[in-house]
Amino acid sequence: MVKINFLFVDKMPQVKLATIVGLLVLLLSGYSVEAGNHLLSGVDFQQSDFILKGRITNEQGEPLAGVTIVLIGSTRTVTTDADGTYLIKATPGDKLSVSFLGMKDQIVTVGNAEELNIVMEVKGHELDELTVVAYANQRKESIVSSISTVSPSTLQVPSSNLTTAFAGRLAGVIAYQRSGEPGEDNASFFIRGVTTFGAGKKDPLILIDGVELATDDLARLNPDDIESFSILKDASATALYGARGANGVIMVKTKEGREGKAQLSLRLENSISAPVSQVDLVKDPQLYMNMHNEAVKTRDPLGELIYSNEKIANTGKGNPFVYPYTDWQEMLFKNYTSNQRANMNVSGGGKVARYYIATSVNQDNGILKVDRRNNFNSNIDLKKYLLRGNININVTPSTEMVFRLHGTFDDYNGPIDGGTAIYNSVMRTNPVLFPAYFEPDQANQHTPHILFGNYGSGNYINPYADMVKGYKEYNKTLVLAQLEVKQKLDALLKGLSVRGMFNTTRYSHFDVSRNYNPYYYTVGTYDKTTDRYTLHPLNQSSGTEYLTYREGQKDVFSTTYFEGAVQYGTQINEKHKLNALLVLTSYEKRIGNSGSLQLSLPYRNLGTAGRLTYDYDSRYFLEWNFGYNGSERFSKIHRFGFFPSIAGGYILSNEKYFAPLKNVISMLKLRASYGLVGNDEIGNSADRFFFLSEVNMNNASRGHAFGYERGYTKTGVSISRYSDPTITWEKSYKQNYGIELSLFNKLEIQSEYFREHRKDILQVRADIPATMGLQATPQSNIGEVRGHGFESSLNYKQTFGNGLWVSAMGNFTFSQASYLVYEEPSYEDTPWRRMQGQRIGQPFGLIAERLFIDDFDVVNSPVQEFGDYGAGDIKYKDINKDGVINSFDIVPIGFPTTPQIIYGFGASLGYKNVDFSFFFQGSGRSAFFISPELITPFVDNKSLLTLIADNYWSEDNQNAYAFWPRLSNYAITNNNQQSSHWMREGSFLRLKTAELGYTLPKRWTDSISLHNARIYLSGSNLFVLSAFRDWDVEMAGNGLGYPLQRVINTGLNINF
Amino acid sequence: MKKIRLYSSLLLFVLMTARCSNYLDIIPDNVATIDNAFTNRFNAEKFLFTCYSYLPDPTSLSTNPAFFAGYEMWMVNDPLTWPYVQGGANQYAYFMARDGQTANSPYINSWEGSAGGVDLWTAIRDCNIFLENIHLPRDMEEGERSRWIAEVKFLKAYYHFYLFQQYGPIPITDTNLPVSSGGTEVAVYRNTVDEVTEYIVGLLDESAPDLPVIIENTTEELGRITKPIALALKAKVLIMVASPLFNGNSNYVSVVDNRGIALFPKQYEASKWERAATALKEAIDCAETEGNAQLYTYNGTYVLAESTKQKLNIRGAVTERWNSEIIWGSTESSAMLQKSVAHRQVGLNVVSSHVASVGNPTIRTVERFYSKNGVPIQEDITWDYANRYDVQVAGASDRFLIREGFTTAKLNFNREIRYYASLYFDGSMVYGNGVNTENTYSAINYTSMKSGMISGRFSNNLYSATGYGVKKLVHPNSVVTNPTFTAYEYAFPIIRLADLYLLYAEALNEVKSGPDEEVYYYIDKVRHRASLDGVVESWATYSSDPTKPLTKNGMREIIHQERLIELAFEGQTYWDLLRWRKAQQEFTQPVQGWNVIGKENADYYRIQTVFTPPPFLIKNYFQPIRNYELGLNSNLVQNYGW
Repeated sequence: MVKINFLFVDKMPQVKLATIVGLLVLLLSGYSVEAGNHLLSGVDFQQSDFILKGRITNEQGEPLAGVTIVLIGSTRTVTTDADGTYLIKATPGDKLSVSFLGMKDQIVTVGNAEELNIVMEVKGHELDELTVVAYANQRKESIVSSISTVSPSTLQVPSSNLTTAFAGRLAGVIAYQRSGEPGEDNASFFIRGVTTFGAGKKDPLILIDGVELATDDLARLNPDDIESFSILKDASATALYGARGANGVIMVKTKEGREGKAQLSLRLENSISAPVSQVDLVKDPQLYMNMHNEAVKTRDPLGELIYSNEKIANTGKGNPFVYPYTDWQEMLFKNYTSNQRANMNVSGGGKVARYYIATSVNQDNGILKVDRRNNFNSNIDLKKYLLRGNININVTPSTEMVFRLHGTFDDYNGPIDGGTAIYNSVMRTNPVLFPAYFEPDQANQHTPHILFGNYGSGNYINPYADMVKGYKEYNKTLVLAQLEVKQKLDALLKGLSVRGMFNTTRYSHFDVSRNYNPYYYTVGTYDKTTDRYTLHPLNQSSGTEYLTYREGQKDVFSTTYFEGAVQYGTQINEKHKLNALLVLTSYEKRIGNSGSLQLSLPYRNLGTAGRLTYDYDSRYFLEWNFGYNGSERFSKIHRFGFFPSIAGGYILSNEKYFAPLKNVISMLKLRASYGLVGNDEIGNSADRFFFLSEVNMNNASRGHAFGYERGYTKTGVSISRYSDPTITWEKSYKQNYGIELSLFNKLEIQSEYFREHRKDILQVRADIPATMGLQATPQSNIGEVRGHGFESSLNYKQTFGNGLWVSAMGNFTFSQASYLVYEEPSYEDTPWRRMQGQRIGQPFGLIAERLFIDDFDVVNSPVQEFGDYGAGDIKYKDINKDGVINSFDIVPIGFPTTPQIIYGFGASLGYKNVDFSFFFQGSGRSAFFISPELITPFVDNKSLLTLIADNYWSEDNQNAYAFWPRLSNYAITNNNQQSSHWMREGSFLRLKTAELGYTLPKRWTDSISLHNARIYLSGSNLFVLSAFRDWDVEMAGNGLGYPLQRVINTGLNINF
Repeated sequence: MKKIRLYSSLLLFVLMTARCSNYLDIIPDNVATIDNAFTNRFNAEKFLFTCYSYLPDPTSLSTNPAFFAGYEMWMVNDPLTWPYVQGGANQYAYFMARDGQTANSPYINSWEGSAGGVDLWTAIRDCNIFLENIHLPRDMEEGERSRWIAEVKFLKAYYHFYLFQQYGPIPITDTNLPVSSGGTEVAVYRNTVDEVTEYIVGLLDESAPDLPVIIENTTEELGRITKPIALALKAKVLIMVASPLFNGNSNYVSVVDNRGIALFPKQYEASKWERAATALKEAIDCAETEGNAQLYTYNGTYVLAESTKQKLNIRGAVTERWNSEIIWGSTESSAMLQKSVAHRQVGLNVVSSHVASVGNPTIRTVERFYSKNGVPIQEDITWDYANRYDVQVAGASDRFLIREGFTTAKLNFNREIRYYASLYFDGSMVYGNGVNTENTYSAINYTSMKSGMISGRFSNNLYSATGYGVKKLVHPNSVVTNPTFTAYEYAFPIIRLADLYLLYAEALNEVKSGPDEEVYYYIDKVRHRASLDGVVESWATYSSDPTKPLTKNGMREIIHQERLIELAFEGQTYWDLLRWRKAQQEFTQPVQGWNVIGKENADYYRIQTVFTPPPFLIKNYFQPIRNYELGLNSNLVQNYGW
């Protein structure tokens, strides 16, 4: 330990500076410092001593053994015995310091009485009254910016992906989930909606323990490990992040150990998960074949039929290999799968050190079937491990060191191309062309490989073969090591402290695939009388029985982050509270496989930020924040930006005149903020340095060959970006108005209205005609977006005397943003094609009137310029009445594709040992498109959706309002245009989760020395209300992919 | 004192920030920029090659519109066929012919470089960049520098010409606008036909003197631009604008931009033909005398039947690598083209899907070829035109043309040698495919095109849609076996001497009051090589219209048909028919072929309509500029009718 005496410091300013530099250096190098004038000098005076005795208990009156009692100013120390009693020699007026693990320290003055009983209170956690804000904590009362905090326990859902819990639970967050595939099931989430466009970053900055991490890392967090979860929304909350904060910030702090004996908490869950809904395919082979034949005939009366009457008659009845019919969904997918999750954490600590150690194991399985004839598993099996250790050490009374180590590890095993690809390939496979595999014929009795079915020259997709032919493994590792030192500098200036934090993150990912090339067979001959067939091999030369191996993607990167902060807080006359904060941060990321020179250069950010808050009498609050930061992405002139914000608040309920109302309105606060924040992650990730041109001096496709035998070749030169030093970050001007209201101390309401004006959005120049001949269209900070919205949350809690308690919550978010400035062609004659003024994410398309009834209808309608069409194809509306349907007739249709409204509500109630809770989540004002290309039956051997078979235009049933136009065995471009015909509303309300819990009676748990044990049954995605029923509406256009899962979960939570 | 402490802490922060601002300077020197392309000769040569790299690939069935868009040939309408054809699923030219062109998403969009079109405006920009910077490299000899400049000027002219041919008059882009330009600066106007013509001709005139007359270093430089190429292109530009489509075409006088400038000339000008004729003469003279060009004839050492040699004279003019007739040969690989059109043959047990047998001449194309007497079949008084779809058994006299004893359509009998050199059909003899050692009849393979036969509809997707295939584009040394195809590559002719001869005859016929010996001389040169007599003699002897070559109009028709036959399947027919304003009558004919699903003669030899083309309207003579571009630049006027 190094001691530095500061007493001489005042003498010379130069020396002072040197000293402070030295101090910081020492701090950062892990030394601890103790201020010289803080040392106690022990003076022992002995005057009218007597023996003081007493009993120390907790609040419940139970005696505490081992409590340390120190007579302040002496070396005298005693501890309590098993009954909690103590004896100490003392003098009236002496001060005793009483301390015990997990209890609040107390200083008591010895009076004249000889007995002094002391009741100790459990140490509350500081964060209960504090809210995590940018780079610091702040008293909840004094917060005037828009920050919502979520109790981590509400994020406890039966899923190993935290992001799936966001929708409807976080006020101000627009979230939705499109896929249910393990490892690919992150929800998308945007704070206050999307207020920018283009290829840049739209989602929030994610900070976990102060370190920027990715969505995947947030998804891996275990709610049990989360201490606090905050969402920073307005300019005042995010200005400190400057050019990184415009899309909002999600800030998570993990738990730290608390003083006290070791507490162990264990949670075990087992869930059964099944698709919420599966797309219905026609299971009737005759219907499939008849419709396929119809598809040919209806387009070309002379066309050759695909299936003979003989085949149609025998399929499903005759030999199943000669007349195959395969229900590929049945063949490939299980009805359900089971997943397991376990996590454990231990925390505790003493005066000097505290620890929180957590670990969790999640096992997510896919719902793919496995062929027993292979000795490898091709189903999805994703294991996620997490290890976390947070250790706080009080190096000296004024120095705290925090050491955090965190690792997440994913081990994946699954099909070669992933689960979604399997789902897609089922959609692209004809059910009657070939079976998944053949039973061996005479000749193949001893063939060791599986005799997969195929057709023609063996180039059709056999999804079963694709699924079972091999497996892919990937391993992902993220390790984070962090050291933080906090030093109080009260000696220098009361209320001054400094803090330094260093973090490094290391990431690696690699995948390896192993597969054999399936042998495909088709029926060669078939003898009806004996029911024997012979098989004809289709790919004798390319099939393999042995596995081949492919190294896949490898990703590695490392980041280092440094943060240093000085904080100062003071209070004058009880009424004036002043806090100041100044932070310096630097961030660097290096990527090991970036793919190009420019992308391989380190990614860096550098910034300072500050905050000044003032509060007067807990009634008036004022806050000023700024961020000043720069990134390497921009040219020197635009490298640094200054992002200020200002906010104010007023707590009416703290006014004297308000006192009579306090019984009803326990709290009423008004607040407003305005400020500027930026977004520097603009454009494509490949377009990193806009101020540099990107030239490929060896572009083979721009090369040429000359010579008699074309022997002299040279590569050419191409430009993929022109330099533009003026390009800079997006700027977002945000306003926020909020009201916080608490009624009867039971009901809390928080409502906010926000406006945002985002400028300088990078946009690909749209007025550059092709005659300019540019190889890459220049981009510019042109776009502007104006957004506004409203959010509200409501919390209600009541406990009744008879052991009944109820709580309810609800929240609602609406956000809308529109293009204010959007560069586009003038569209003078067709103003409806303008983006300007439209909402972000507004889809454009043709308006489908109906299907053409017959050829007469076709002749008498405007000409449609999208290729061949006829009776039964989609008829579009001629918007500009020029007699031609073309791109001039494209108009904005429907709601944006990102929902504008997300809401959720739920309640919990408990009675004695039983508790029950449910939570509904809804989404409104969004649209999506069914992709006709993906479901067009027969084209590229696509399957037939029941949906289509039930409702299509046919010559016999010329239903102009049928779902599906006239069948075809080739793509009809006319019908595949984006149009209102394929648009659907995405609104829904779903029972997102419900949970029933039972806490084991105390007398049972006590007997096995458990602190607490609860078993519960929970479920997610239990039912959904929506106008759209063909697949889960939340998957929107991705409905044919890996479905969202409905989960029934049993869990056990034990605390020792 | 406390304040001082606080201030010094703040100062420290500021100092740290200041020190760290260099932290963000991470860009090392020497990151490649466009300047690197002109630091030395080595890099500048790369840029020269870059300028060349935009040359549209004349061998591509997918992106060269001339093969399919004029319905000269056709293919099976089946997506499973396309993977075996160059371009794969993107059969833009075929789609354009099949579905028709639209102004929303045009096929072969060279204006924007999409849907099969090469981005020619970018090509022109690169040429300009080259011309602006080529003075920079110091390690170059001036002679070489001026040659390179001339080549790039030529390329710039050719790219303008290509757009001109597709879109009609275009904005001349002689210098580049700065990248940062916007607004009205970039809203360029289209120049008029005459301005564009003068501009292109001017560039070619500037480039010709500095170009080499012949390529000395054939190993490394064949394919580079020479003086004869520049003169030939100049002639082609001039004859194009003299042709009816551009010259006095009343349909397009209404194409007026927002300044009131009409893009097309209002009046027919006969002098344009004179200018074209002069340019052609100059080009021909230069090619013949300085470039040593002459019509190709087979000079191999094998002892072959006379008719086989005659066939090779024709086939070789295209497929003999860098033969004497080629003025401008492409250095694109012809392998994929050959693979796409090649035939499976009897005798090789070839079942492989390595040749697609697509690119199938239609009955209309097939009937364009003359009878063996060198006159159109409908005019030949000795040729049984009425019964041409009946069948006949091949005798010994035809044995090197048609398999002896084979029954095939009368249409295939008694045709000129170019018919047998250019086409394969049911029963046709196919010399080559690795069998070229000696003239033994039995060793030579033949095609058998009926359904189920090896060259016919043997598989579901890879077969001729019409019963005909193109032999002319497959070199005799390209070999199909089971399961491989090995192409003997050749330099696909962009311009060859016969082309210039026929253009010259065409121009002269227009210039003169009536055809004379000079006109006959150039067309007869081409006919003699095809083992035919001269026009006057042939018509006089065999035609039902014996005086046809004696009138200007008659001679015009004869020259047109001669071009269609001589240059069939070489990507010329499409442009010629457009330029002559004959597309409306030609591109609207049904696509016909034999009944290729037939297995027997009686079934197979029935004419079937394979496809009925979408309407061809006046607007279709030029490609539409995509509507989107018109939205970006309101000064740009759309082509007529779109």
